[in-house]
Amino acid sequence: MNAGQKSARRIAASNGPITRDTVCVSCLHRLTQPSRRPASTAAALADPPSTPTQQPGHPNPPVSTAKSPRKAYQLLASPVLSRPPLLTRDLTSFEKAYYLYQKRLNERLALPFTRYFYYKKGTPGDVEWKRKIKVRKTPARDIGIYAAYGDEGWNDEVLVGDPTAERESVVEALVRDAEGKAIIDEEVVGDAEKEGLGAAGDAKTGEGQRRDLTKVEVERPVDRVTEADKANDLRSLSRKMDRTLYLLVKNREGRWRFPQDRVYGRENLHQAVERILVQGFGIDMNTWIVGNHPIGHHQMKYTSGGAPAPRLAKISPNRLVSTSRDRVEYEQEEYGEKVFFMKGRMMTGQADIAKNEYGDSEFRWLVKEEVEQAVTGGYWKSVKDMLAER
Amino acid sequence: MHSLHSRPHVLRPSLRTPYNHTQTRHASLLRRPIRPYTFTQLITLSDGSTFTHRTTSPQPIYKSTRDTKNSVVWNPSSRKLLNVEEDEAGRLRRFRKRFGRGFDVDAEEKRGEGPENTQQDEGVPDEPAQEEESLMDLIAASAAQQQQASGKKAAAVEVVGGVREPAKKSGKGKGGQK
Repeated sequence: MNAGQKSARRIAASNGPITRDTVCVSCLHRLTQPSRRPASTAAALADPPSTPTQQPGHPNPPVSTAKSPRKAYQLLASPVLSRPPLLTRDLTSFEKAYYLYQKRLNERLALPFTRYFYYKKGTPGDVEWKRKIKVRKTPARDIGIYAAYGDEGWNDEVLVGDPTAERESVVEALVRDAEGKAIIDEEVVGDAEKEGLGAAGDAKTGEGQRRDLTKVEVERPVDRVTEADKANDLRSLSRKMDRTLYLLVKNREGRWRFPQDRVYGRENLHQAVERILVQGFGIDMNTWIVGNHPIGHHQMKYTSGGAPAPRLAKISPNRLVSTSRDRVEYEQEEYGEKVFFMKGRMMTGQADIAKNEYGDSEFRWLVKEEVEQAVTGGYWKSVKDMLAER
Repeated sequence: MHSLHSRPHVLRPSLRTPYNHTQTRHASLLRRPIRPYTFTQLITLSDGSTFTHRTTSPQPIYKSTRDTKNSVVWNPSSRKLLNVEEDEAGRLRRFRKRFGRGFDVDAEEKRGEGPENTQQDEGVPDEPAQEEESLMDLIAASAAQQQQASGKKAAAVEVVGGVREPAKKSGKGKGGQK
């Protein structure tokens, strides 16, 4: 990147007209107001520069004609639109075992459950409560059958492969309890057989008969693995709900990239990126571009066989950028391209590739590993540190 | 209640000092913390999302009808929530369940503001069955048919509306709201 006034002056002296494409705004102000300058500096400006330091951004030939096209890099903005994770991640097996152990430990350390505060004596709720307790021996529902103050209170560890600690069995136990059933149906395993009241709905258990007049059906929670996951629909926003998804498009050259486009007129990166999202995917996306600073950049020089191969670009005004209409279509010789990435968040909506104005053929919402697979090596190196692991 | 009375660092055993410099806490009585019994509870929010948390409540499942997921403030770009009329969890739903959709603003405006209308507070739905048909709607509809059959223009519908008194029986009832 250019640094300081000297380089700006060199550019001003060597290249043709100075615009925002070649110098920054503050240098532009300083250079394009000759009336404020004393004569000495004006003379210095007029001097052709000596051999300039090699900067990657601006190759400065010593002499330039007035009519030659300006030499520059193509300046691109690119939104890195992400849908943040909507679910918490799965627990590791260690975490599950730890939480189960802690819950069973809590049975022995916390105060006992004050049953008669919540369920008054003799009420149906109380009867139901006692019936359920008989099976699982503890007020808690997510620790299996465990009697903290019984003879087996020491036996609080479960065997390997026991499903008690799994999230699904915890949720299932809670739902079954809400339905009025005991947390497990089949006869109890292990030592508790002797105390043995088998199935829950057994009418002969102590408290009297329970008639299944109404079968309460409680809705189970929605599965964490959605249909989009099962179908592996890469365009869906409901896929991989515990990971961050990034929007990539296949451009007209067939490469998978973040959507990108040139910066026109006097728009800044934030405005450019918002425009790109609309021009690339329609207006049915509820997005938020975070801040005004880029989160990364990527640079590519045009070369053929090792030697620089500048391309001539025709820059026409963009219909959505009013300040780009100040100039009619002009030409620019570009030695490469520089892409600046801006962080964007996706809230609701979906991309519509039919409204795309850049010739992109399809889009995908991918997690970080899939982005690595889809994207070329040099691009991945520039991009990988911007993306969240989860 | 500190019992750590030794230096934090550990001397290597090869130095063979007579003192043990590891951290120690000799046996002392720790009072059991007085913590209430806590359960795991499954919370279901209004949009169907669920999570578990620890609570002293013995209910296994808590279904929330009003939370951030169906609040306008937390979902500013949701047009469905912005429309108070269609709000599923709001107070209008409760009212409609009890008294039907006859009192809707839409139905009132549709009737127009002519003098030949019935009383301003009485809602007689013109359009056919709304989503929530309640007893009130049926009664009101049948009463309206009775009126039209008998050709009366302005009449007090005494069957309906145990709630409000028949306000103005005169023909120049204003069509709008009171």
